[in-house]
Amino acid sequence: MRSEFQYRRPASIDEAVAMKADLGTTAMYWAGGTDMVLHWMRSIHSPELCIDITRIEGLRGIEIDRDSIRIGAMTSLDELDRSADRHCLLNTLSDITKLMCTPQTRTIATVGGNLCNASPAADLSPAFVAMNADAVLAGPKGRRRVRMEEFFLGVNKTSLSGGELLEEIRIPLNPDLKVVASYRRIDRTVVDIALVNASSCISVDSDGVINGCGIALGAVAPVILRVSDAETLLLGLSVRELGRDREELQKVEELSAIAAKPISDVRASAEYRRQMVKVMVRRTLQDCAIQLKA
Amino acid sequence: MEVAKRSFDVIGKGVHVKDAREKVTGSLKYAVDMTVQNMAHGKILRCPHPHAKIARIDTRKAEELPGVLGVLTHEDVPQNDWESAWFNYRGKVLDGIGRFVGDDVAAVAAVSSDIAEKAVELIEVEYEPLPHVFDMELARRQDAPTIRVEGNERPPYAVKWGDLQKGEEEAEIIVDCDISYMSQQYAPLGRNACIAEWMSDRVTVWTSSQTPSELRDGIHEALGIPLSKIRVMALPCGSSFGQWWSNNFMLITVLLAKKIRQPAKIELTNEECMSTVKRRHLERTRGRMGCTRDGRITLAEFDHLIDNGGYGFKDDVGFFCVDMWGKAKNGNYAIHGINTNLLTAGCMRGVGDCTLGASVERVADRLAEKVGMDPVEFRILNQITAGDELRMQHSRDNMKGNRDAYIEGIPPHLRKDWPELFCLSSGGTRAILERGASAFRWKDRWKGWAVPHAVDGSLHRGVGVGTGAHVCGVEFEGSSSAVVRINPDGSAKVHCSVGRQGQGSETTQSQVAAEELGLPFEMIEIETGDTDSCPWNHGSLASSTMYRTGWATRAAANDARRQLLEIASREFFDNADIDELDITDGEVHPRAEPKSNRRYSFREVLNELRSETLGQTSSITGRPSVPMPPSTTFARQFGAQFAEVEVDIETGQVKIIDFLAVQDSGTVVNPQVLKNQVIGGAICGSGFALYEHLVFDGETGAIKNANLLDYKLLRCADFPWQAEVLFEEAPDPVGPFGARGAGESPIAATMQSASGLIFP
Ligand SMILES: Cc1cc2nc3c(=O)[nH]c(=O)nc-3n(C[C@H](O)[C@H](O)[C@H](O)COP(=O)(O)OP(=O)(O)OC[C@H]3O[C@@H](n4cnc5c(N)ncnc54)[C@H](O)[C@@H]3O)c2cc1C
Repeated sequence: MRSEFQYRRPASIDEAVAMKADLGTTAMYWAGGTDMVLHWMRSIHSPELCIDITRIEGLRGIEIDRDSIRIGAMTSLDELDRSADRHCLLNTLSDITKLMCTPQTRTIATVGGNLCNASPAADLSPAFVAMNADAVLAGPKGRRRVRMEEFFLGVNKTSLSGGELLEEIRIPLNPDLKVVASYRRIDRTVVDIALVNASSCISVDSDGVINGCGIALGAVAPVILRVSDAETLLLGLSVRELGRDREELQKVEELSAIAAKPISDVRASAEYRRQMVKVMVRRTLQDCAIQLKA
Repeated sequence: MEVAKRSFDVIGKGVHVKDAREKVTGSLKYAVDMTVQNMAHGKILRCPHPHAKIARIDTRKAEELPGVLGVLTHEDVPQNDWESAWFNYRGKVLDGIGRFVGDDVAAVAAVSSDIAEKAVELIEVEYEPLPHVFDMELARRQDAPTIRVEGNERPPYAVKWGDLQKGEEEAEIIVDCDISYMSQQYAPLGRNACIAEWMSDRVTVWTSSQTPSELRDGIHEALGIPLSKIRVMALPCGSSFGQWWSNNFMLITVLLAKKIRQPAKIELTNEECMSTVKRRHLERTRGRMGCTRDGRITLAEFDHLIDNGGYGFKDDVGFFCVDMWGKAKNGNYAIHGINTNLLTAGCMRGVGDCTLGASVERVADRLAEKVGMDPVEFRILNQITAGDELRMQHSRDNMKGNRDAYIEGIPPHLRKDWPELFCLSSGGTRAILERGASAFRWKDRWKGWAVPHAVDGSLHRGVGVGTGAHVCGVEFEGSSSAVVRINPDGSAKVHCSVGRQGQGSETTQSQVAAEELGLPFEMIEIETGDTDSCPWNHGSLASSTMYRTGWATRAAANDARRQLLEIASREFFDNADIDELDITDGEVHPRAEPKSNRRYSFREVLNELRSETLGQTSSITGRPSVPMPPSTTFARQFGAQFAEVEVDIETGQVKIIDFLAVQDSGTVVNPQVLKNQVIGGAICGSGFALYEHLVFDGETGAIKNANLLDYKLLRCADFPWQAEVLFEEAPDPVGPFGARGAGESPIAATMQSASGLIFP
């Protein structure tokens, strides 16, 4: 049966984390509520306290400066969608949001909620991992930064602890490099959860040599996987090689498929998922190559 | 038989559906929205085993929970069988045996649904597990566990015609098939609920249903109380596709309310709607078809299995799909219904069409491929047109009844004006195929079998064609009736219990009545759910509503019109023959003088019946004088559909890029409503062709994707927005104003058009 809970609406981060620290796991943050309400209705979570963080100042919005993009945790998917022309990485993120939920749900669902819900199939998570982003966590004892790939610990499990709240996501930028990213997923209908997804992020120097690379896979393990050994293979390559049939690329696909630990479930078989990891990774890299050419 | 087209005032107009405003403003009341005073909330305890007998059931703990009003178990239930329309359920309301995971075991009533839910968990049941079987091939074996007293399989629905050996000899090419189908879920977007309230020994039931009269019959059978003591007030059910007819949870609600002596409501959750009511059958077709080198089919043989789950009892699916290819002189088909320990299966929109029909289409296409023929031409060559003989069961020697007796049963005076028996009454696929092929530019776009017409990397595009046919109801369903009442103020009300499943029949039936009465559409309202005011009606199912109920509505309106004209003749037109009078825009006038100022409104005519002294007013009630004659079985509706589909050959993802449908439903009563039927059917059909299927647990048979996250319905945006629908209107000699049926042929045609072009 569904739990009964109290509802509070703190005005500041400090107030919110104090409330949560007091009650531990029986208290839950409410961002857009789109995941949380379903979990509560199915008794996956039975909170005694619901902490509404929608009114806290400063948790919302996107800022760009020389060396990072900052996305507040309470930024709605719809806001992210509308930020496409502000940066090429935001353009990629905006494209991702268009695949997510429905237009109505996107106006209330938040970026932070998508990450904190820690679904291995979530659409934004692999992109942030590939982009080398950090999660900024605010807790009763202050702030700390966690690398995105370390933020996810398992299905619906994150490294948030002791009352901590996700405050923002920071994507690092290097003004000397050109950076692009891409995301691909296998879905069946316009509203779907990814059966498999992948994201790549490539930075190149002025000579077109790959200087940074992130490849992340979703829905093929309990957490988002980062394929570091595949990433290193691409470093130092010229971007012109990315679109071609090169041995390195095949190796990247294979290493990704090896890294994947998919399961069979009602949505797809493990075998299909492993096969699709290769296709998705190849396509994200091809997308990056096309963007870099433009 | 050719029927001349005539011009109409209301028929053929795209008037808005009557409840459009309520729907878009959210004020239309469905059963979940209903409450009655002092109502208890019920919850059903569900069987956790695929097959088990209740050895002991202890309800004391549940009853002791504060707020609980009572518990219903099989021990409280009369052990009578009841039957839902079209053999979709046969059994007792509760009989102490669970036949699938999720089957009804007991029910609790409490002051709140939360308490009822908690109390359900407190019922202690000791189950004695019985051997179970999920696979229908295993279920038909001698040593299979018995699921039903009648046996898991009964004699098949079987038809044979011509000389099979000759057909085989004449065939120069033969193609075999063995095709299995997964199970589609109705997946309605609306949930359902049922409220029952007893007053003394009479019960009133509110629920969302397409078949109010059938539900009343079911309650009568299950409880053994007179029909006159049962009133069903069916509410709109939204797009139901056959799910909400009469369902066992409704009967449980009736018994629960009786037990606690208080009104009770059971409201199903989304998951219950998807995993405990019914679904489309799992089906398998084995068979073959043969043709000559010039593409003439000489032989069609099919053996088709359908799994009925725990309580379904059906076998007659999709015979019209074989019929459609009935130019084949020799043939044989048998359809076997088999019970298993899976969720009950029933008639879902396009029952048999999307399976047996799709198999026949697929085999036919393979034949066309082998003889090197265009699939459009192959269909035109081999599919029936008006006047061709139908190959259905009661037309043949081995029919369940007897052909001659059948014919004798039809009064000769009725036969005189009716189309030839056992032959297609009107329409066919030729006209819709030709029209569609030209509008779709089929000849330019089709590049041959398994040849994509465009390739972009891993994206391959091709075009496909499919055809579908469905009956428009059949005569052994009983005689659907309707009543038309003209009120003293000149407005009229139609009473026909066809329910409201969102397809617009409340609107199209009103159009039929308006046309026949000569009354403006706005003056007509309709009652579709109240069995106390409506005569018996089969409901809106089997694509029969326009054809059969429309016939009854027209006949009732005609009877009311006759009565009205008789009064007018007597009071205003010097006892003129009523044939010399006519009605236009709600006014009676001499037929020969449509512009005459001798015009009398309905109100004026009815005023003549008024008692001057008492001031009482009167109304006229019209009803069909004879039931609809049996030759109506021989009408069909046809759809031909053309799709352009894109396949990602690396990932297997499929997208429908372009779509065109041509529909032959006879006279189009309302083009908006019909277009909606065709597009809705096509989306549902392509969903089944591409993604929709239930996942059954291998160990327990339980449904693993009873939610809309993992049960993938196509959304509007998954279907091309520019999809076009064209109509061919071959008028029918029997149907009202030449109209036939519409609901199910559209979904049938989509299967092959959307997936037939995909080669492994
Ligand atoms: C119809 C529908 C379609 C969907 N489609 C998609 C899809 O295509 N792709 C996809 O990835 N997801 C999808 N989702 C899931 C969901 O909408 C997204 O994950 C959404 O971004 C969650 O955000 P929210 O603000 O609603 O989170 P909430 O439900 O409010 O929160 C989710 C969880 O995170 C916690 N939380 C939220 N914010 C914080 C924070 N700042 N700090 C700490 N903890 C926090 C909450 O306590 C809760 O446990 C869909 C959901 C629905 C209902």
